[in-house]
Amino acid sequence: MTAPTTVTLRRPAATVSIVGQLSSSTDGAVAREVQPAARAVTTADAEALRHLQQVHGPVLLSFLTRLTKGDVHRAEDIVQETLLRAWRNPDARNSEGRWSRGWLFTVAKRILIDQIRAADVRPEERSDEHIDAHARAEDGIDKLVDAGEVRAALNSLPERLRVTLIEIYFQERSVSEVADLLAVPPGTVKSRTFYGLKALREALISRGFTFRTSGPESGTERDG
Amino acid sequence: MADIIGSDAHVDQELLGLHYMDALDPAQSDVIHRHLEECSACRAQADEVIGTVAALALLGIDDVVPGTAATPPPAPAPARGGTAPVRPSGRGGSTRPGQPKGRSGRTGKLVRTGSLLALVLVLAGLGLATLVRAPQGKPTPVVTAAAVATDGTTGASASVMVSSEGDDGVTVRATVSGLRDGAAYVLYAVTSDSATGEVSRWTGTAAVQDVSGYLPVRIGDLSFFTVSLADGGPVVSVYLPGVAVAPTR
Repeated sequence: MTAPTTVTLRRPAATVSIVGQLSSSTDGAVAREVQPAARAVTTADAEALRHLQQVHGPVLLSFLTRLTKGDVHRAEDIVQETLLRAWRNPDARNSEGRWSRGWLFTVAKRILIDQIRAADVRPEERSDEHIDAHARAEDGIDKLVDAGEVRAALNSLPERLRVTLIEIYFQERSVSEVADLLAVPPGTVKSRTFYGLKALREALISRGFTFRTSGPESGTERDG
Repeated sequence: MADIIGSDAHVDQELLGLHYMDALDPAQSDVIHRHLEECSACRAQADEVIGTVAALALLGIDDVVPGTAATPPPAPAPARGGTAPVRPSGRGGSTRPGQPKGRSGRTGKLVRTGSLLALVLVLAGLGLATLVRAPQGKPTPVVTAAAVATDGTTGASASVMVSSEGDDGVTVRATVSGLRDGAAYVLYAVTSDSATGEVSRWTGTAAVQDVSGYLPVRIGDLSFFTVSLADGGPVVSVYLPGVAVAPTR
């Protein structure tokens, strides 16, 4: 990852104002002339990004909300940053134009870790929660991502469901690929995925893993 | 898309997991996404699926596939280990050629015809309001818009993300690259009625830089951003085509 030079200048609202017309060299004519062509060029890219946002955005948000112990705002910031980085890294897309799921979640996790570390050098921003989070980061990413229960829950699933989830989610294969691989009809892959997720959820709940319900104030997700 | 929305006018539940695991065709996912925006019953189902998939995301591939190296590289890199077959196009695959760089011809044309100081070559806007929307009834929705642009003449590029919480103002965060080392730059925001505000001022370097600032304007009034040399013309402009899809209440 690049380590961007940060030039942050947050001005108080009172000192910043709308200061009239931009100089003549860049008035609205520039925008009007260039914009339509520029739009046309990027339709496919924009659609790829929109797909990314629709599909992975909500899961990233849920994932990060858990990792930030319920800090939805912070999770939202990281989701946005992740999407931006994805946009700036088209090479992380596969031949079909989709960003790799594994890449995305790794990036999101790194952003969080970087933030936690950065907060440590800005003591004024440090709250008890951050100290806690930072201590966890120091312990390594494995502590922050306490995956033991999830692993156990996944391993408790019937083989046919577990394999289907792994192929679809972790191997990032399509329904038809998995159908070919397992020599079952695509409809079976579809229903195994559905029942696999359902069974996984139940297995997680039975292990004390809590899911955020509807409200944003469900507090601590679980004990690590 | 009849398979996606069932006879009961709701999304086929069996597709929700595949949707959030990115195993569906983009067109199918699009139908599901649009339905979810309107249907709270399906959204409740979707929330459960999201939570479960997000739990799965706590595991790495090496957790579940023995012998797999920690594959996903953190830096820009090819999508996956080369041997795994990529998704076959399946339905509607022909519309997804995955052509990230197929725009140089148009670029040259634009540069020639325009001879403008700032040319927007890459443009994408996304209203993230949906994404950022709280699951249910969060009091202050965060409205966000983002866009990216690269200038063919100067090689400068900028991505801008604007966030607004309420009507008080917007926070602008931009990531810029390709600037001249040591030159002074200014990031201006321009509203749809051509009023201009200065977001930030900084000295360029060869590296990627993040700049940010605050402006007391409504996000819906913003039209575009321009990175300019402090003593000269603009080097790259970034338009926000899809701003203001904000739910205003």
